[in-house]
Amino acid sequence: MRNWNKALAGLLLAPIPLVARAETYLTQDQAAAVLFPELKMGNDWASAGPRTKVLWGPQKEALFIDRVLGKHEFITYAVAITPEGKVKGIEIMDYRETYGSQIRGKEWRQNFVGKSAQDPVKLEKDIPNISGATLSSKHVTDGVRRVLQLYATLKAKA
Amino acid sequence: MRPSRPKLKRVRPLLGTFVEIELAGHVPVESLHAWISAGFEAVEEIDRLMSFYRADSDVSRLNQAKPSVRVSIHPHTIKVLKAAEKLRKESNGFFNVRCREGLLDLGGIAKGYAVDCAVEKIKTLSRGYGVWGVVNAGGDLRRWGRGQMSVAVATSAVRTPGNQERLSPAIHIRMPAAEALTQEHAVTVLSEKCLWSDALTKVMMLAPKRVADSCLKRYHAHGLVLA
Repeated sequence: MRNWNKALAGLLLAPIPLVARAETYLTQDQAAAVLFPELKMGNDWASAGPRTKVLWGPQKEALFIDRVLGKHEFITYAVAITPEGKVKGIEIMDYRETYGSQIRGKEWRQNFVGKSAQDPVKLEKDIPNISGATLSSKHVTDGVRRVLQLYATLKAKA
Repeated sequence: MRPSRPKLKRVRPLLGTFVEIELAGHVPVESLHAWISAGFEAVEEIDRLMSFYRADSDVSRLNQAKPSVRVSIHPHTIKVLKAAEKLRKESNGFFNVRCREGLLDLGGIAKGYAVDCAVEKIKTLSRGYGVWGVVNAGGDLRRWGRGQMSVAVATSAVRTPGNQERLSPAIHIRMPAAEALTQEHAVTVLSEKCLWSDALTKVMMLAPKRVADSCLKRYHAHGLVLA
């Protein structure tokens, strides 16, 4: 019989993987290496808007870096576009939360200290990662749609 | 003191949420990146096959097919359908991937399955290297590796009209018994596989306690209610 109490305690006391934290996952160069592993994209970034920049590849593939507002955080993401204008890949580069730490680590964990798996755990607040994720991810995919149009426009101009 | 192992975390928007993959091990960073990318590709494959919202997914093609027309579907989809059918019987019909309009919706089980596929892909590629990791799809997560107890966790919640955001909006609207839910609470299930954790949260939400407990026991799973 598995020791679920131990697993649960381990999960609750470990940093909880929630969307709304400040975290950096990839730098610009790392995003280029991950999304275009077979190319050397260089460093010639051009502005493509107030929150957007672009790096062009040799065959008119492009790497865009854009920023959107999630439910409570700024999300910087990179999207790689093929020469045919299709999305090759999307990676989140960083989050910067716009609100405070009420859901972060220590305070969140205090709600569970002393509870066993048998106790119904009472929470006053919403479970935040449930509220945040769906809307934020929609904003990113909306951003990607916008970037695809931007790609087409910029490519036509060049 | 042991030197810390290289550790990486990456995030992609997939399955209508954010999927985060974290991996650590005494291997070159390039290997971690390659294995994480492979994990994401495994999730993307499941999304392509089972998304309710993609016109060319197996699910949509099944939903659009005229009666008695044969539709060829991927082995992944067959596996999930079989798991769903098994759980439907075991839960006396409280778990049901067919919604009121008769449409098939794998939203309540596919996310967990996608997490399992990513984990298994990474484990296969990294076998023998002793890596540990977590794949987390908006709260449905599974972690594995040395020194860590392997566990798959899923959480589901119902919200009263005040807050419209939910983890799996499709399934809460579509499962036949969902209309009966009025309380605001969340359930979390721990088991070995995210497919089971994911599906069992729905059983806990929708089925009487006796039925839910029997299903949890059958999958060696542990359920928590957060009121």
